[in-house]
Amino acid sequence: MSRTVADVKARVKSVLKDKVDPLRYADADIVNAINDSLLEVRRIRPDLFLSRKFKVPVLALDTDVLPVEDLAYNPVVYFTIGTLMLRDDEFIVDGRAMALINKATGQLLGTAA
Amino acid sequence: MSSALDTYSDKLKNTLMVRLPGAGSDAVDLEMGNAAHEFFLNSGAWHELVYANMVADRTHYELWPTSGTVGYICDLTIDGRNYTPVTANALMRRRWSGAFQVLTEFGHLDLEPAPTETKPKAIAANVTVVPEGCSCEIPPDLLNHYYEALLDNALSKLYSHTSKPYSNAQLALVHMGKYWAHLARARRIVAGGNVRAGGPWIYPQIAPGRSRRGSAMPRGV
Repeated sequence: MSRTVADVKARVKSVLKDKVDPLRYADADIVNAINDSLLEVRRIRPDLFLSRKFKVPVLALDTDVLPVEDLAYNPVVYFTIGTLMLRDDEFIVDGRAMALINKATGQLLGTAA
Repeated sequence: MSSALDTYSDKLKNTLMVRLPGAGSDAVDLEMGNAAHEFFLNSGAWHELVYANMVADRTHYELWPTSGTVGYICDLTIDGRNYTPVTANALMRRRWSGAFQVLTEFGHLDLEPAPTETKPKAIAANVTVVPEGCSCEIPPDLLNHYYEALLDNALSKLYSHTSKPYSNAQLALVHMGKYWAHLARARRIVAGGNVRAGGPWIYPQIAPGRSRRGSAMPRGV
């Protein structure tokens, strides 16, 4: 089953504990972070975009399907959360953001990250 | 077992995916295609008899196998008579002796001089076929017979990728060596006309005489 932007958003909000109003992260910010994550995945693993001729689409709707195979789903989630956490925010610890970004990079590059 | 293992190409892809954790499906498809292209181009193991009809005053003919493209033209028969394909240089040096001189170039056929008879004649060319693209249909018997060669070649290519979870330069070299052994075996099989021990043989050096070479194949085959 193809995973969509809505799936990533649900995971991101779950990890960030941001499900109750007032939301700390607007939907538009999360979608922007997902698009940034896809660019990062494209940079590290261009082979995952082979069938799309290495072009990265800009996602906007909740129903948009992630243009990568399932093996890149978790890295996209971690990249997205890490990117969001890099924002200047009183609730956020920078170390966690970098840990998530490094974990995502490791999953794409390492044998058992 | 699941139906996903029904065909050899499925088995090949499943084996590659299992051996290469973190590999993308599209990348594996791409390298499977590259491996098959390289193997069949260099071994000439995939043969097909391609037919065309000779047309008066037409010198140029293109040969299209059922699947893939022509690698080399091995033998050519025009109206039941055998012709040996020659290169452009050879064609320029030799004088026409009444029969057709045949120039071949990667699936293209040039007849010199141009045929004049209107009566259609059949051209039959024994060609080696090279798969084209990742979705080219390779005959199941070839996939079955040369499965290990294709597997080792694809593994070698995939292991040699840089900065991937499955990158492994040492294993790439190991599988490349195994692939070269498979390629040599395939060439021997092709040289022997797909007959076991059918290739040319030679007496050991201790055997005297001028005719040390022989062949298990009868003459004229």
